[in-house]
Amino acid sequence: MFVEIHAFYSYYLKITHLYYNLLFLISFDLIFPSINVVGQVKLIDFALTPQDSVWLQKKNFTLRFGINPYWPPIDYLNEDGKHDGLNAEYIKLFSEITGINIEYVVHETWSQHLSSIKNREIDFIGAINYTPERDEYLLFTTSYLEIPNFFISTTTFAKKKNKDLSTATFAVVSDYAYLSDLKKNYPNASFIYFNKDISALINTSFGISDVCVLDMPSVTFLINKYGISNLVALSDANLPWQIRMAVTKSEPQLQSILNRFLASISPDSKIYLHDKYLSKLTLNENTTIRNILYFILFALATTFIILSITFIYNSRLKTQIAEKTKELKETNDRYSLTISATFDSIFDLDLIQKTICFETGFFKLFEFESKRKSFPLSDWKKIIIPEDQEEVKFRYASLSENKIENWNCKFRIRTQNNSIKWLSLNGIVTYSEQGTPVRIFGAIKDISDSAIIQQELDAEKKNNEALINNTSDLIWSVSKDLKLIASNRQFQLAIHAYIGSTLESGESVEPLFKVLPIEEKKIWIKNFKRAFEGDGFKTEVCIPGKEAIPHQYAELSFNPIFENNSVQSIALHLHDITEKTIHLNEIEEQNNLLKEVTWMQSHIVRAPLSRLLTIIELIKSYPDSLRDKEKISMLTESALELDNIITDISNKAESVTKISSKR
Amino acid sequence: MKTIIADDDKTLLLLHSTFIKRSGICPNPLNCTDGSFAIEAIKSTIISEAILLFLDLNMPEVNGWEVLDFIAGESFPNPIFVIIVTSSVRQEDRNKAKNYEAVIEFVTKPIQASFLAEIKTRDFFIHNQI
Repeated sequence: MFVEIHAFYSYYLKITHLYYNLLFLISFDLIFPSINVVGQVKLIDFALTPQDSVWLQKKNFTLRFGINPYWPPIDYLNEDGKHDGLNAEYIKLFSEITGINIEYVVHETWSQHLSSIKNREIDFIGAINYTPERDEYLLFTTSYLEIPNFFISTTTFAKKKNKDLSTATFAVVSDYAYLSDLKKNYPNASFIYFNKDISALINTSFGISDVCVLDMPSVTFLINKYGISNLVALSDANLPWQIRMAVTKSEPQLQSILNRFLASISPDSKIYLHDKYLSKLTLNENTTIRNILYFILFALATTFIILSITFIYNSRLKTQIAEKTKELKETNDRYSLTISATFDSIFDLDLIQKTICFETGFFKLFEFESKRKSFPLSDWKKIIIPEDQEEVKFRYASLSENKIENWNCKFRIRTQNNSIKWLSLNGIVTYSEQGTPVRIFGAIKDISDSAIIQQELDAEKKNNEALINNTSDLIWSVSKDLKLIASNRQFQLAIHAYIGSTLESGESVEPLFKVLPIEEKKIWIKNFKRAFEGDGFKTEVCIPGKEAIPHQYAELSFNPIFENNSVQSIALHLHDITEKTIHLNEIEEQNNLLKEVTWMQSHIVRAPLSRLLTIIELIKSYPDSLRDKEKISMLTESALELDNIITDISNKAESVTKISSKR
Repeated sequence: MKTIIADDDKTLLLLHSTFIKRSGICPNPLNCTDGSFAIEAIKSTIISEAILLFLDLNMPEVNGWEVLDFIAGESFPNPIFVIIVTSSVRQEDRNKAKNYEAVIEFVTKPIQASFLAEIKTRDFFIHNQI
């Protein structure tokens, strides 16, 4: 026998509720002790003793409390990362009533939680069961909450006729208190260990284990939160939690404070607290009859909704049909208007009957009145001016040869008023099974104005081309994606010389960068980037030589072309300054030589000269200061040195002359 | 007055030394063929008396400017007077020399006997004679 989880839980709650109410009646109403009120909670006869205070002084009124993050709704971390649940309420109350500052320590798993208090990394924990093993290192308070544990399984397992828990696979949480008793009760069962309740529950839901053993508040909380729908409570596991607080063995004073604190909470406050965290998880009792009633109600409601939706849908469908019909008419009208706005007439050319049929617009175009719509093709051909008839014939002939679907042709006609008009025919061609064109249906447009504009544009283009080609400079423009937009002849010739082919408009200019050395390439890319940021500038570039092409220097102008305040393309102008640069270099070289000559004059020439003058000055001022031999030696040495230097200067001056003559 | 002559032209150094001895400026001037020697000489003679330095600018290892920078960068208990004696006729060098407090004269080679005689009459020379 099994029942749904919520039904079991409600039953449990009723029992506990009654238990606390009885306690309230027996104890609270008979005694009138001192009462502390913290929020909605009453604490009776609680006060710290002098011993408590001495002990707490040592602890600096601060205790480390370990949070078990995964035991909702008893003790857990909520989505904001804060301590939540029934136990959180107790600890908060404890802190407020005692003035003790709580330092929270969060653990990843229950095992870590236990290990932490065992190693005295924390002072106490808030929700734990007694086991003889834990008793060796912990001191427990009295139990403040008892919760039964249940065997939880999938509905599939629950419905098995021959289900046998003694050989089932249990999903359990490591280090849980009931484990030793569970193993004792089911020695032949298999156990899969998990870190937390939800892992055990999910794995049972997935059928990895047959059963898990969990308390009802946790199961209810978790299945509500995660929407697990295939689990049922099989039966009471008879391994209830008796939830207590626990402190490290070395802190009996804390155990005493906590015990007195728990005992002081009034029964109605306990009910209030427990209701706050446990009752909100309950749902209405589920019985089979109620379920059936709910199902019938649900089915009736669903049927009603479906019928209502169908009715509304039908009504809307009718409205939509009316709307669509109206829209279609409007679209048709719009189409007709668009055709008349876009084209001047529509034609239907029957290539078998050799007739052509026009809409009335054509007669306006052709400037004559006619009630007829259809004409022999021979009459139509007559209005095409003789110069364009060959073009029309050629276009017509291309139909049979190329089997084109969209036929277009531009030609001039002579109207009844003897004026010339440019017409553009665009039509869809229908072919027979043998591939012969049989019909062309399409539109005629008077393009006289645009044809004239086009002629003007063509003339302007020719002029512009003549202008940009009438220079030895390279002129080209590049789009944002580095594709060539336009260029002059010199540019194409230069490109051909470098990359072996010309560059068409629309092709990428990046192959040009490939002929540049890496450093030069970087400079070019940097310049392009700068220009595309809107900066127009001139720069000098060095174009490396290639085979017969010598090294070149050029002045390159980057001119950004703006459209709607953003750079869409760049016009570039490259002016060869190789000769100028070479001349400048020569002048620089000459200047350097001249500087050298000047320096020689001022320093090197002046050194022996100064010496000669000093000797003379010395002889003049102090005739006996030097011996004759010394005088002659010094004079000769200085004179020879001077002669050598003058010869050297003469040679240098000659090389300056040579540079000048090279120019 | 302790006198140092720094010039890389050894002949000229000898001639200047003779001039300085004969003119009565210093009976035994110290001759240095490079700026580095001049610096060493200044360092080792700073203890007692003032120094008069005849300094050429163009020297191969440590030039005259570097010697002037050294003097300007140190503080000495005794004064150092520098007379630049150079082949350079550049105004740029003359202007630059004015930035050095120690420089009292800038003369173009050759040194004249009349110049040395005039030096002897200056206050700095008279006051620093032992």
